[in-house]
Amino acid sequence: MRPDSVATSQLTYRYAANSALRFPDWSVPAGQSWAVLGPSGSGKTTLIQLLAGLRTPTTGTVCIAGTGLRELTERQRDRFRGRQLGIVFQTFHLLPALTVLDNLLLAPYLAHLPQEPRRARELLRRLGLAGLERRYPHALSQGQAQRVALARALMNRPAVILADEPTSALDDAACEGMLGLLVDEAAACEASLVVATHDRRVQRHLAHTLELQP
Amino acid sequence: MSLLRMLRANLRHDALTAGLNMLLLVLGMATITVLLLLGHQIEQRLHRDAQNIDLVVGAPGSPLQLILSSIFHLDIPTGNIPLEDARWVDQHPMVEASIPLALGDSYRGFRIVGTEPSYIGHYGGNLARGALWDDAHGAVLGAEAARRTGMDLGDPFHGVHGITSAQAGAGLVHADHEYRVSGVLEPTGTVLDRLILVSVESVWLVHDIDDHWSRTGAAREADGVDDRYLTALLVRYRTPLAAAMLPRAVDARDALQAASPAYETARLLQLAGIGMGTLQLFGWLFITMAALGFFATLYNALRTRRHDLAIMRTLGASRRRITALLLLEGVFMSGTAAILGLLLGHGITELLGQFIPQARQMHISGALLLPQEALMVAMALLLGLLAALVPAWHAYRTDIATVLQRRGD
Repeated sequence: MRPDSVATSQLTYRYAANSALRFPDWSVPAGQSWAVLGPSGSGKTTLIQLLAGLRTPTTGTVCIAGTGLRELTERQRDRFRGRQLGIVFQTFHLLPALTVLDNLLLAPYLAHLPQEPRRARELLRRLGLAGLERRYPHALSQGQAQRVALARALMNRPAVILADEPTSALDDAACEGMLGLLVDEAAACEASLVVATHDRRVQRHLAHTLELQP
Repeated sequence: MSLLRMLRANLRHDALTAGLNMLLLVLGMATITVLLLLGHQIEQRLHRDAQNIDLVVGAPGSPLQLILSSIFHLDIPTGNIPLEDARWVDQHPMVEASIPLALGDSYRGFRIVGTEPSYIGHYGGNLARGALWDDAHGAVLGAEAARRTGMDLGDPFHGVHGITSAQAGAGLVHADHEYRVSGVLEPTGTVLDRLILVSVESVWLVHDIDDHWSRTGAAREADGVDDRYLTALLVRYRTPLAAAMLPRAVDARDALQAASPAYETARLLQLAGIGMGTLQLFGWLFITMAALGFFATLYNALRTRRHDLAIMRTLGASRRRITALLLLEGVFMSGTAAILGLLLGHGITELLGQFIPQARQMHISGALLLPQEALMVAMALLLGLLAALVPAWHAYRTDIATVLQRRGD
């Protein structure tokens, strides 16, 4: 029995001078896909960052794949994040100085995992990016850059994929395509998927929904 | 993916800015390297030429000129000294040995030096082929003189009156006295290489016959006045005490002047050192500007790269690793530029040594390493590190969550 991919309890986060954001206790069994919905200011991005260990909760705990993030030192948390989490941002941020292939290999390199160029090529092929290995990010279309960022998030076979507003800049067709890929690839890696968005189009694709109140 | 690959990729990404900054550092390093190499080799050369000569005795005038003309063969002599006075010096009880020099003529830019075989011995010269002169017509060529004039054993030549190229160009050819190459020396790396050595007597003979101010041997015998002369004597002391006494005794004679090679060489180097120092200052100026450029570049890049660095953190890189990466970028840039600068400096020095006649005479070479160069590389690395320090510190302090947080959420 695999532990829950995500489990939070009593989670709050207070920005300086603001009232605290409170998050419902929540658990995501391994392999499930969730949409985290809510209007602006409801703390969707904050929740993603708390799950990623990029922010430390004011109170409460976050467990990812059975590991409590509080128990880790900052360095351990960095490495844990690199190995267990695949993170996709709204702007699909690739390192401009590196080729597509090197952007992918950066993930295992920084997480101190063996680099597998064959896996990188395989991912690129699956995402329809075969032949672009040596391109630089500036020579990619927006859609291609998105898929490269997704491929990079998948490189280290993460337990959980966290996506923050991955579709808000996309038209309907592109949104469908991106969500399809996210769900399919998460399934292929046996990873759980958490998509934070205010975009209601997303809901149809994901089995579960967490609503955040402002 | 590897560290080196990443450093190179980042350098290439902003190649123009990085290149310009590196160019400044390369130029600074090259300037200083050339000056170091030239200075070191010239100094070494001067010391080698003046080594084991305690005192030079010649005609009154500038002591520096006397040293330049009779040790380094670079300037014109201060004049001649009567043979009688030269003998007085040679037989002085405080003099261990003296080597006579009779100057005044040249052949195709190479000075003809009337002297004794001990002069060759003094610089450790060995015959590559042939033999020493055994009469007033034999001449031994230094290695460089032989190579450049293309002469070899048995070849005849005539000296020209005057020893600077301007003098010799207009000078009269001593057509009546023919020299023949009797021997060629192996290279010694000293002044000997670019001299043509003959007997003192042959120089007298040449000038007895056709010089207006001198007279023939027959005339000399007729009026009983000996007007034979030498240009200078290279003296070695018998006792350290001589250093205090002999120069004064020499200077007391009207026709003579004593000059200390060690003192004059030091003075010469000091004079040249001021020029070298000024040039070196420019080199350091370049390097300082490069360091400031590095700093500005790295600091500016930090703003545009904050997202890149945050992404690297989300991919598992620790704070320390990001900081180290930025520091290494500074060191990598300055280190690369420093090595390129050293290579350029050595290349330029070698070219100078090959193509500038004066430098070629001095056997200037780019193929030697000085310990100071390691120090320069260390300095450059340190500068790169310092330039990267503030940007790296900022990166260390950056909160990635804030960088990644969009506005309004």
